[in-house]
Amino acid sequence: MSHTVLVCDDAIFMRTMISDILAQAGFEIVGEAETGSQAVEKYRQLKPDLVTMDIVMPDMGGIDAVREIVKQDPDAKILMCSAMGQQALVVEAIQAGAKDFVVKPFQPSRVLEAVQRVLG
Amino acid sequence: MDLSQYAELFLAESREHLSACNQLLLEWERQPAGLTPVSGLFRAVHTVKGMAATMGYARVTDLAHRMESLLDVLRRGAHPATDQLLQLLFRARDALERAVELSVVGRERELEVAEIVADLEHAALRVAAGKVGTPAEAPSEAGAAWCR
Repeated sequence: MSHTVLVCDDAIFMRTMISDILAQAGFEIVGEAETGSQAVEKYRQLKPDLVTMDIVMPDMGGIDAVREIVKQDPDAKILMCSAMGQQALVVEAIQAGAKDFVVKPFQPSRVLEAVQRVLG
Repeated sequence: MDLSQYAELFLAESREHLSACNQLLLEWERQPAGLTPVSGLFRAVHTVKGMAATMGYARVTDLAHRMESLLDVLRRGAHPATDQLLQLLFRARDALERAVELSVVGRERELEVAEIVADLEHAALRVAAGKVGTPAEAPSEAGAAWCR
C-alpha cells in the first residue's frame, strides 16, 4: 500500500508541484492545506503517513502547525519545506518536532530523498 | 522535470499576489502605524520568490528577495509607513510585476533590475540602522555601483 501524504503550502503552485513529484513516485496525496490551522485540522481528519509543511503561511504559520500536530500525535512525520535564508526557522521547526527539511527551489530527487529519510 | 507546465500557474498566482500587494500598500498608506499590511506584503512577496526560484527565474527571485528583506526589517522593527518607503515599495511591486510577465514569456534577459535592487537594499540598511528617513539620499547610481 502506498504512503499517504498531506501537502501544506499557501501557494497552489507549490502544492501542485510537490503533489506531482510525490504522486509520480507512487505516493497517495490524501489532502492539501493552505494555512497552518487547516493543516492541523486535516491532519486530525486524515492521519497521513507524511506531512510536507511550508513555513510562511497566513493564519497559523508552519512551525506553530508542527507544534499542534505533534501535540496530537508525537509520532507525526513532518517534512519542512523552507526557502533559502530560513535556517533559524528550520532549526525552530526541528525543535518543534519536524523530522527533516528540504530547501526551495525543489529538485524532485532531493524531495524524494528527504521523504525517504523521514519515513525511515 | 518539465517546468513549462507550471508557467501558467506561476503567472496566475503571482498576479494574484501582486494585486494583493497593491491593496496592502494602499492599506498601509491609510494606516501608517499598522503592522498587518506589512506582514501580508512580506508573505505575498515571499510566496512569489519561492515560486520564481522554483521556475528558475533568477532576476524575479533576486528582486523579490530584496523586497522581502526590506519588508522583513520593517516588520520586525514595527516601522511606520513613510512616503519614501511607500513610493519605493510601489515601484518595486511594479518592477516585480514586469519581471514576472517577461520571465514567463522567456524575455527575462531584457530585465534591468539593478537600480531597484540597489534602492531596496539601501533602504533596508537604512531602516535597520534606525535612519528613518530612508532612501531619498541614496542616488540609485551610487546604490547600484555599491551593489555590484
